Amino acid sequence: METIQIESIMEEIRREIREKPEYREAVTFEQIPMLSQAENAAMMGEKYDEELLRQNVADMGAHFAVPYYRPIAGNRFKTFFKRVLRKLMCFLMRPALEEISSFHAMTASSMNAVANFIREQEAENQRKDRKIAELEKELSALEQQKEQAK
Amino acid sequence: MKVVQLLQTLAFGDAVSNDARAIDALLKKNGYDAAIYAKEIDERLSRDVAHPYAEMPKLGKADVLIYHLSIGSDLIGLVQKASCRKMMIYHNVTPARFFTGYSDYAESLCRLGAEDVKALNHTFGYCQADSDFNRQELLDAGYDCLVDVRPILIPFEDYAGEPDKETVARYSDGRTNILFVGRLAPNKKQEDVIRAFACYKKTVDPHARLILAGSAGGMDLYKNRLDAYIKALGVEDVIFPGHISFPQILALYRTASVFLCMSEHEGFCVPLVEAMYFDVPIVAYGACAVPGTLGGSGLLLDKKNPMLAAAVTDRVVTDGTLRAFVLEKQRQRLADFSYETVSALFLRQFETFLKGENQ
Repeated sequence: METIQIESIMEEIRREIREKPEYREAVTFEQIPMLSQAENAAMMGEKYDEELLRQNVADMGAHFAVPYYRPIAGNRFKTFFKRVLRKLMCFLMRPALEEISSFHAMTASSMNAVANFIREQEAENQRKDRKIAELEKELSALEQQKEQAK
Repeated sequence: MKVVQLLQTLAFGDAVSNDARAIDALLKKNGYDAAIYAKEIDERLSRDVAHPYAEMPKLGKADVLIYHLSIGSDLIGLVQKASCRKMMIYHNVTPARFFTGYSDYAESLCRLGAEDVKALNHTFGYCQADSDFNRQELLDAGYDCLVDVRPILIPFEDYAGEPDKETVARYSDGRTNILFVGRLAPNKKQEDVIRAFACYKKTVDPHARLILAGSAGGMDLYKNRLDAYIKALGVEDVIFPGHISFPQILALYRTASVFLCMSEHEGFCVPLVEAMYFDVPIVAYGACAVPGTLGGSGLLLDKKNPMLAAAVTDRVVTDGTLRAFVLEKQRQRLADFSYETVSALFLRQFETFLKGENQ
């Protein structure tokens, strides 16, 4: 194998680029507006994306619970302070988070059922399409036979 | 002795999940009583592959818990409480800032992931990291246990399968195919690949095409912005195949002229190794774990200059001698990631951990 000095090739390419006029793009990525979730949803309209639904339903299933206790990291003073705060807020936060988690669980379960229903319907539609195609084929064969019989 | 691997999500086809599955198979092959438990298991995976974390048995002092950390998870409470021997495989957590404005959900998971890295310090007797970059991150976070580097375990025999014939036929028309594989995510900087491609189309080859393979699941805001960018640039032949089958991915690698990666955050980057396997020359921006994974092979870009990316891509496509040299270096590097090498390394490190010699 011929040995090549990659760095000298890269230097040669850099030199060539310096000699060429600068490339200017019509628009930069930063100039493209970033849509909010709501604007994006409006733009997407009624577009159905199976992959997106599958991903979102899977994410919902994994993260419906909002845990009250999460390990606290940091130095001793910070951890102590955060622990005290957590203890003080417990009576208020825990029922609220439990309620939120329970609502999330119901939503996730419903979405899962909807996604499964869509999947079953799609499979059923595909099965029916195949059946229709077969029947159309049979029908055209019968029509041909009928024509020939005439 | 039970060896349990625990992770937040066991997805279909992602690097972390594939690593866990490969380790599980390797452990079982070597006589260990191994199992995978996860909070979220992709429905396309069979019930034998992994079990819900709630079914995880109580682990005794002799058992081993291997936790895969790549994202925030409330499973860490379970890990901290477990009274068995504990080991972590660190795959890196994408900095949350990349997802700001695109996905509050992904942003919060990544932020939690970074907090988990801090919170889990002193929890494990031993850690493995996919790359030296990941290892350094753990050391910077103050981990004082031994942290070894062990590349992702890739069973390459899966890649020997038959590629999708239709896809091969579609892209074998003599045009230059520039490929990038990876889920659509802001840290992977698909916009910079598009930018370099637009420059390549304009200054080098107007007939080239760009294929950005990867799922857009959960990143529809980013995908829509990329679409708007492509439209504003007026660049044609940018293809998003979306969710595709494994034979289709094989076909994309088999028909690729060059693999172009402009990612700004990778903990390992399996697609680089896949490109090596399929003899596709790599042009990549040298960020995070990318230079480490390439290990001196491929062509590294030191700047995000579209002209530089386009010129280097052109050179490796047209210069046969350079192409042959790059491919030879990539084949040499690929040997370091062979299944035999990495599985032997894993077993050696794991057994040393069991003996307590590396704690």
